[in-house]
Amino acid sequence: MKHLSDELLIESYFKAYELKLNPDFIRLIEQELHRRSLSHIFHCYAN
Amino acid sequence: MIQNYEELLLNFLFIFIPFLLFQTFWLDKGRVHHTYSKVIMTILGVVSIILCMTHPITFSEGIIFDLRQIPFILGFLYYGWRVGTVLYLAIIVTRFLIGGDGIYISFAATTLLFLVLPLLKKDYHKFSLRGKMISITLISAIIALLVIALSYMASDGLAYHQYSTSINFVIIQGLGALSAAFIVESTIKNLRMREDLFKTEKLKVISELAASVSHEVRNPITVSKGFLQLLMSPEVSYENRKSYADLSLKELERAEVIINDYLSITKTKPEKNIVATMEDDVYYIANVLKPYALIHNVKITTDIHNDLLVKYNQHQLQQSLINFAKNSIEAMPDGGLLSVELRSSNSKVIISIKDTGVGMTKEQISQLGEAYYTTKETGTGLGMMVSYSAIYAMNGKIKVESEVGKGTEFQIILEEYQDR
Repeated sequence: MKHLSDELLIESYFKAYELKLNPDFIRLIEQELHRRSLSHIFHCYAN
Repeated sequence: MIQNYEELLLNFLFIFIPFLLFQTFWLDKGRVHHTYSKVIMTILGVVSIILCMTHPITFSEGIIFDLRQIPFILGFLYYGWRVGTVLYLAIIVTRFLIGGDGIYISFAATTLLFLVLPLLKKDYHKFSLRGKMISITLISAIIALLVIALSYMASDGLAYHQYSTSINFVIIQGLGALSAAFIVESTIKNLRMREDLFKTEKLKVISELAASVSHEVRNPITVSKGFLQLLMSPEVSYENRKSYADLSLKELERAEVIINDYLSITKTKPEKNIVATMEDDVYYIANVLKPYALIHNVKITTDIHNDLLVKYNQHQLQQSLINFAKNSIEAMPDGGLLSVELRSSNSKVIISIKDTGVGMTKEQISQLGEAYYTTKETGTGLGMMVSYSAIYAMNGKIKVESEVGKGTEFQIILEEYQDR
């Protein structure tokens, strides 16, 4: 996960959500987003 | 009657010595099948026979005998005809050198025994404990009886009181053989139990690690699958597809490493010793316990640096270190720090396993390594015992420092290997 660029990480997150992939996988991406302090995108998407 | 009970006791001592010596000095070191066990036992057997024959038991009626046949019989039955032949020759030669009356009787009886024993040996190992005891006692008593019978024929009959004395000989020889055989069988049983113990402990550790390893290996598989699914989805740039593929591969490699490390424990490695710095082994156990540590919220740090060579049994060292480290992790129920270090100082190599766990009282420390001692509700109390004896077998020492509430440090100290 650490080897993904921020951009790709965020893109992957939305795509994974869209495609309804494995919830554990999505959670792992979320954790990495938190770790990189990128969690503000959750609020963006919610809107 | 027996003139001198000391001589009787001495003879008993002489026949027990080989086995007791062997057990104390060689087998207790944890090496069950010593390379030279046959040679050592032959030498001890010969010594035992010579001692018996040079310190015979005197009966008041001028009858003397000793328990020389017993080491001969036991040596033949438990170690084979080569050992048996050497012991046979020992008896013949020594008897010849001692001289005196009755040489030919002794030769005849011993030779008959030498011819009969192979027949018994064929099926001996299939006998139950009881069968073995009975057969050894019988053969010893019968030989004694034979010697008496030959003496009777050779000397135109024995005086009346010599009969009862002779029966004493048969009884003493029978009992001597019975007790010696019992000791040998107990020793063998003991050693087999120790081997089984080690195997059981290993299985226990393997199964306890299994759950954490399975859990841990699922993560990289989940991630790999997710990235592959993303890779196959529409509207993804070529660059990103490459990144996804690359990541997926990396995660699979990670899964491989976790599983391989775990599988290595399950393999039985040979009993041979190797000479190495132990750096690889310490790295290995730190890795293999990562999943287990993660589940218990424990962080592992390593500080591994050693250039000195040590002679040790790789498999047993790994098992022991895994035991110590696993205990340390379990001593931190709320998580903590496990530090694994390898360093050298003054031609000694030290492995340190330190935790920030619940610690131990002085009393608890003193009971470490004892059989069946455990503070776990479902513990067997065998893990530490097995680990301690494995380290001692490598001529290592174990130092424990602990403070209740602060943590514990185990130091395993091994000697540098000197190549002479």
